[in-house]
Amino acid sequence: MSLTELTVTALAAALRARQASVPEVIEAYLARIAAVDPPINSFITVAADSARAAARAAQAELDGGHDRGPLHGVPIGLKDLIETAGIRTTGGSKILADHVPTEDAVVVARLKAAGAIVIGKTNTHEFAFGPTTDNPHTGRTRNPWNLECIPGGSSGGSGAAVAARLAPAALGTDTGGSIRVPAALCGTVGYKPSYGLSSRRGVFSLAWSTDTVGPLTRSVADAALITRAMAGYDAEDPGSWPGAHPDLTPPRAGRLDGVRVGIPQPLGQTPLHPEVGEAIERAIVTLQQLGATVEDVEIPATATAFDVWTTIVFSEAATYHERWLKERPQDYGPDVLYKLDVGQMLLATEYLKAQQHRAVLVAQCRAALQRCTVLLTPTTTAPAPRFNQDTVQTTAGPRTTRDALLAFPCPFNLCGFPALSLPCGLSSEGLPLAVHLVGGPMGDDALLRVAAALESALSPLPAPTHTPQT
Amino acid sequence: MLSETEALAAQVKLLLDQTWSPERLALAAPVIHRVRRNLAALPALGDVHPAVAYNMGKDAAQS
Repeated sequence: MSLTELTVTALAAALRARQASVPEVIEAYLARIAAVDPPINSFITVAADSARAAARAAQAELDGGHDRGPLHGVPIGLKDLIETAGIRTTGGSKILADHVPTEDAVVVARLKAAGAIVIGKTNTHEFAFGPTTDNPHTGRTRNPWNLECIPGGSSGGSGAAVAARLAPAALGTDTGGSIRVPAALCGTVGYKPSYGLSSRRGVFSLAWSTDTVGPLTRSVADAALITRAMAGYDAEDPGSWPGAHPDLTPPRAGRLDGVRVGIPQPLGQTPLHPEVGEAIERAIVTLQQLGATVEDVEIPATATAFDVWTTIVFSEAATYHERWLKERPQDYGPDVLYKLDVGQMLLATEYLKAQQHRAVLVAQCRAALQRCTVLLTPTTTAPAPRFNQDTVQTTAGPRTTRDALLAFPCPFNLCGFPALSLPCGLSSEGLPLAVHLVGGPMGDDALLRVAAALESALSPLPAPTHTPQT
Repeated sequence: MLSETEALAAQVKLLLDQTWSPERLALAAPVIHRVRRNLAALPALGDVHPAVAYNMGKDAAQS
C-alpha cells in the first residue's frame, strides 16, 4: 500500500485499522516532497519538524483511545495566504517574506483541533492576485501533468501538491476562481463553499466581499470532510454566516432522479476549446443517465459579470493594499502592481455601479437556482496553457488566457453561492479537463450530492505523468 | 478635451503623487480603459440598491 496514493477518507481508515501509523504517513509525505517537488515547486515552506512532532502527538492520542475524527493524523497543505503560528506566512510576496504569525488562522485552528497536521505552506500567485502562480518572488509552480504548463491559480501550489500526491488535501482561497481553476488544471476536486461558511480571520484578503476559504482534494467526500471540520460561525469575520449551516456530511453517490441541472445562458454559449466542449457534453450525458434533467436557464447578467467582478475585486484589493502601495510599490511584481494600480484608478461611482449590477446578477442566479438544483459550466475554457501563453484556442478563435480561466468561476463569487470543480477526463495532450457545478444559496449539501454522484460515474484520473512513484 | 489617456494620467498624478511613473501607467492603462468603457456601456440602474460587500453570504442565503 502506497500511503501517498490514499485519499483522506482511505487514509483515515488505514490509520484506524493500524495499517500505518501517523509518523509513517508524515515520513512518507516528507520523503515524496523531497523527491518529487523540486521541479514542481508547490511548497514555499515544508514544516517538517512541526509535522513530525504533531504526528507523534497524534499517534499517542490514538494509542490512548482519543480519536479526534476522520482528520486525525491526516497531513494537509495550506496556501501561504493562511496564517500559521510559528510558520512563516508570506502571501507569496516579498513584502511579507519574513512574516511569522503568532496565531493560527481560525480555519487552521479548527483543522488542528480535528486532528489534521500541517505539512507545509503552498505557493500562491503573489497575494492571490492572479490565476497562473507564476510568482517572481517564490518561483513558478509547474503543473504536474506537464511541467511546461501553468497549474492555475492563485492556489496553484495547493492544486499541484494534491495532484502530485504531496499532500492528500490542501486549503486554498477563492476570490474569482482561485480554488476551482487550479483544481481544474491540475485534475483535483476544488470546492468553494458558500460565502460565509468558513472564517477568513487570519487569512490575507484579496477582496473582502468574495474571499472564501476551501479545500482542494482528490475526492468530493474529502472536500466535504475538510469543510465540515473548518466551517463555523466566527463573530469576528463580518462576512461569516450566523444562520444554520448546510449539512456537510460526505455524500453517498447515488441516482439523481428529480435533480434539475441548469446550463446558464448566455454564459453557456461561450466558445470553448473543442476538447473541453466534448468533455462537458459527456458529463451532461452522464448526469442524464443518472436521472437528472438538463435545461437552459437564462441569467443575462452573466454576460457582463467579468467586468463587474474586475471592478469590485480590483477596487477592494487596492484598498486592502493601500499602505504598502504607498510605502513599497517597488516590492510588488509587475503583474500584481498594475492590477492594484487599476484598482486605485477606479472611481467610487464605478465601484457602486458594479455593485448594483452585482445585485441584479445575484437576483437572477437565485431565481435560476429556485428552478434548478445546480448550474453546470466548464470550469475553464481550455486545458492548462503554457507559461507566458497570452491566448488559448477556442472554436471561435483565440481568447485571452485570463478571460479563459476566470470567465466561468468569477460570476459565482459575486453571488456567494457554493461551487465545485470536478475532473472529467484528460485531453489528447494528457491535460485534465473539468466540469464546474454551482449550488443554490447555502445549497452546499445538494451541490456535494450531485458532485459525488457525477464523480462516481466518471472514470477517475490516473496519477499525473510527471510525478514518479516513490 | 483631454484624450482618454491624458485624463487617466491626470487622475493618476493626483492619486499616486511621487510614486507615479509612466511605466506604471502604461501597464495599467489598457485594463482601466477596457473596464471603464465596458462599465459605461452597462445601463444605469437608478434606484437599484448596490450589493453590500459584507453581506453577501446573508444576502445569498435569504431567498
